[in-house]
Amino acid sequence: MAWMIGWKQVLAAAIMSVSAVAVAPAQDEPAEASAIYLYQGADRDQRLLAGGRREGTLVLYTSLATTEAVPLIGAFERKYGVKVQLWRALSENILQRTIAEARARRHSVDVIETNSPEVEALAREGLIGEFSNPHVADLHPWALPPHRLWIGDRVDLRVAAFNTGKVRRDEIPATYEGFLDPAWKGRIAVEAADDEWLGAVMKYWGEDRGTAFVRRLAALKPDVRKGHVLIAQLVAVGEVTVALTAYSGNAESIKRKGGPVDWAPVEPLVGRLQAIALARQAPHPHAALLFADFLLSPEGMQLLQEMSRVPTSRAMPTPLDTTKYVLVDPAQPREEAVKWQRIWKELFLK
Amino acid sequence: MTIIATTAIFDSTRQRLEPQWIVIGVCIALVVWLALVPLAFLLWQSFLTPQTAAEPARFTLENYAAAYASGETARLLGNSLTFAVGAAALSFVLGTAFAWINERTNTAFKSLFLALALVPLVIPSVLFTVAWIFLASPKIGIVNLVLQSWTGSDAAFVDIYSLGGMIWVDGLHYSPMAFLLMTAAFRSMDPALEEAALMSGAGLLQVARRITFRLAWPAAVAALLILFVRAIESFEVPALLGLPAGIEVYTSAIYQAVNKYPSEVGLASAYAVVLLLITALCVYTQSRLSRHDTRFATVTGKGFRSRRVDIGRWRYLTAALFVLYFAVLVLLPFLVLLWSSLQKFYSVPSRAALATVGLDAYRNLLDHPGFAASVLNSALLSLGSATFVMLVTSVICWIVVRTRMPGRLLLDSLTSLPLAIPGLVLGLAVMVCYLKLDVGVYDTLWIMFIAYVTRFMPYGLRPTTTSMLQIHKELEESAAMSGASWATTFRRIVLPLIKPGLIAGWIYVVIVAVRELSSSILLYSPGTEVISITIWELWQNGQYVELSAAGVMLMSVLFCLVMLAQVAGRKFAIIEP
Repeated sequence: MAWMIGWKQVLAAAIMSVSAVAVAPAQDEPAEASAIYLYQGADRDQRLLAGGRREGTLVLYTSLATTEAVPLIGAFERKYGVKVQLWRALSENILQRTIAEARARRHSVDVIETNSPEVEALAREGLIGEFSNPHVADLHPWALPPHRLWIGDRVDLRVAAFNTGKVRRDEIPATYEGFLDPAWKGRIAVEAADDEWLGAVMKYWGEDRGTAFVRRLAALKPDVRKGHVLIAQLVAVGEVTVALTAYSGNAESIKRKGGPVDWAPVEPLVGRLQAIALARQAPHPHAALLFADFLLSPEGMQLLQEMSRVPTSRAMPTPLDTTKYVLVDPAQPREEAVKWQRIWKELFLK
Repeated sequence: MTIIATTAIFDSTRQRLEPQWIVIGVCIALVVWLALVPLAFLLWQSFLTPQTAAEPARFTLENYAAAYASGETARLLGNSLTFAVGAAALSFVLGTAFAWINERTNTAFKSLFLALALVPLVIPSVLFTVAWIFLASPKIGIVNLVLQSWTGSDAAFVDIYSLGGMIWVDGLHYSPMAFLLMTAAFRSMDPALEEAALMSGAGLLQVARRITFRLAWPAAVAALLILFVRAIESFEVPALLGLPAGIEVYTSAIYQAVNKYPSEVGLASAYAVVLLLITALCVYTQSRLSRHDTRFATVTGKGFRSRRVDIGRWRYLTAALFVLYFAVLVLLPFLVLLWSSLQKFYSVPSRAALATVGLDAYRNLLDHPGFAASVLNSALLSLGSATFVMLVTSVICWIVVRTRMPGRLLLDSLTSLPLAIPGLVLGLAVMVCYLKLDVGVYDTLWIMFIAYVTRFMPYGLRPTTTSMLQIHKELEESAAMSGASWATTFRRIVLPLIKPGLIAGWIYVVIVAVRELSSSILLYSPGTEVISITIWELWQNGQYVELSAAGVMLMSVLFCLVMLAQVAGRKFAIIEP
């Protein structure tokens, strides 16, 4: 039957097109930007500005909230006259998109600013390039990885967020072990996917003390809520009295609106570095480097600080100055992450 | 007769290429292509290890071993099944009961029902779920607080963090879908049989049970299939309400696998295969039912007019039931959203909080960068993809139901399978495909259009198939006998007769396309933001009050649109008063 053949041909064509997907077409690639990124001559700044203006625009993938990314970008655009095209997503989606685009040799992104483990993954994929920066001396040393393929620009802090109607600030213990007091039973909560926090605490106190701590914490059966944003909201409403692992930024934004929320850094204060990286094959390399210069400059750091983020500049006062802290290892081996996930799940999600 | 009619078409092609062949061929090719992209990607990936720069992907069976050899999967799947069966059953019972009351009785205030029933569908799950936390959490739930102050006890009367709570919230949220599908089914059903039963002395409930619901059986199966698979795929409700109670479901495993580095898309795909099998099984069941395809056809060459029963005093009871349903489904969550949208941050309603109400949230929302553009993009995408989906699936469903074309069951399944593909995996598949296959859609609205059409095809196909089963083929045959061409018959006989199914599917796709997030999140680009992305932003930024304002606005706009459509478009079968 004529129809049968048509049907089969359609199917065959479809299968062929799908398998063709595996064979990527060769495309023109932009030259690697490393010469521009690493140029250190006296006229570096002039060359960048001229080049950036010529390029006119840059594409930024970031997980910084739009409430903060938009003012930051605005300041940059006003200063240099270079337009920023913003694509905002969660760090894992940024990673997925950047890798998929690179594998298809579609080079659209110039600057990536997101969670350091994801940026480190981009480094391992060979998608980002080392770049020079005039402000590195101002930064905390841990903001610079040995390979220098990215630079940390801010830190997300896990803090104790509490409802000010139910707890006084001076009741919050100085260390997390203080929460093991049975008086806290029924008043504390953790976020459902905080295995990373557990890993950092274990690293800080070492296997023995760390394990003892998490076991005793789990015995208090803290409430579990999914989503750091939600948990901060629930503190404000009073459903959760103290959230042990809230992000300071989420708590701070409710506090600034007058909500009954405050937060306190507790030892060990767990931080996760957020980093900026430049695409190795950026279509707008001058503009990209110009943006990195701006973000890491005192002006950029100051802007982050004003928007209640925690910049990595040593010149800015942050909770890191007063509380002993530990940072999540951006290059944490996979087996280790899996181990923390397993322990976390057994202790808190059952 | 159909056989003869279709054979006639087959015969004629041997001589020359008639226009219908182009239409049918293009539709099939399109559907097959659209469905195969994510499906092939999913199956292909499920046999591969994660790919990194250092280590290329290689063939493996480990994903399946990891996904199915552990008792963990059985536990998660068990939780998912319990939850999905419960939620689907609740949606179905509520939706069907109210569809029947709305279609078959003369209950008071009916003209408001459809508009009111639909509005909850437009709010994102995360917003609906959080609204229910604020209503029924043991500590701060308004319902609990009110009951406690009445009774003087401090017990938690309702606890949203439980399996029951999960089923309640999800089942309630999706009952409008059952309402839509079953309304369409009741509408394309000749009430002559019901009237005959009534004349013979059967009671109203007896008629409903023994005649109406039996005839609506294919529609019921289709509705249950969609509701069930969708509930299994649901993510927000289990995450927000289940995790605190230690109830973990299957989708969280899929979600975790995709969002790792290296991304374990293979493992997620292997997990998703069982969902595909469940869907395929349901499609097969439905096709078995429709094998004798005249059994459910009550709309024949004889005159047909859907009529209503006067249920006398009962009409006040049914109206009261309706009011109760809407109070719970629409009004309570709506009031919570309205309340929080007037605040600076959510707090339990009190006299003190009343002093701080204001419209800041609405102002902030309208000032949100790109808000107007995202509204336009969403409108284009949802109207465009819904119309396209309904046109293409009406042809597909005609092929499946009316012809004896070999492979039609495969076509039916293929079009339905995207239902079971997790949105994130579907988005990834579409992204990878059109990055490699450079036809200029990447970075444009078109790539999202493609993803939406793929994702929502099943929602177009199921209701139209049901409607088609209820139409006797003799109507088409008469047209053909009178010399009408295929195109004329299709346009003037088939489409108008399956209009209830078409409109139901169209409305549903328009609404859920506005909310679509999990595929859009990877596919949108600077400049092609949509409303769901803006809403997700608000949630990620912790702007809960602005988010509530968005919810209030979406619900209000949808309500007005449906009411307008009802007033203006009495010719649309499904929304006749």
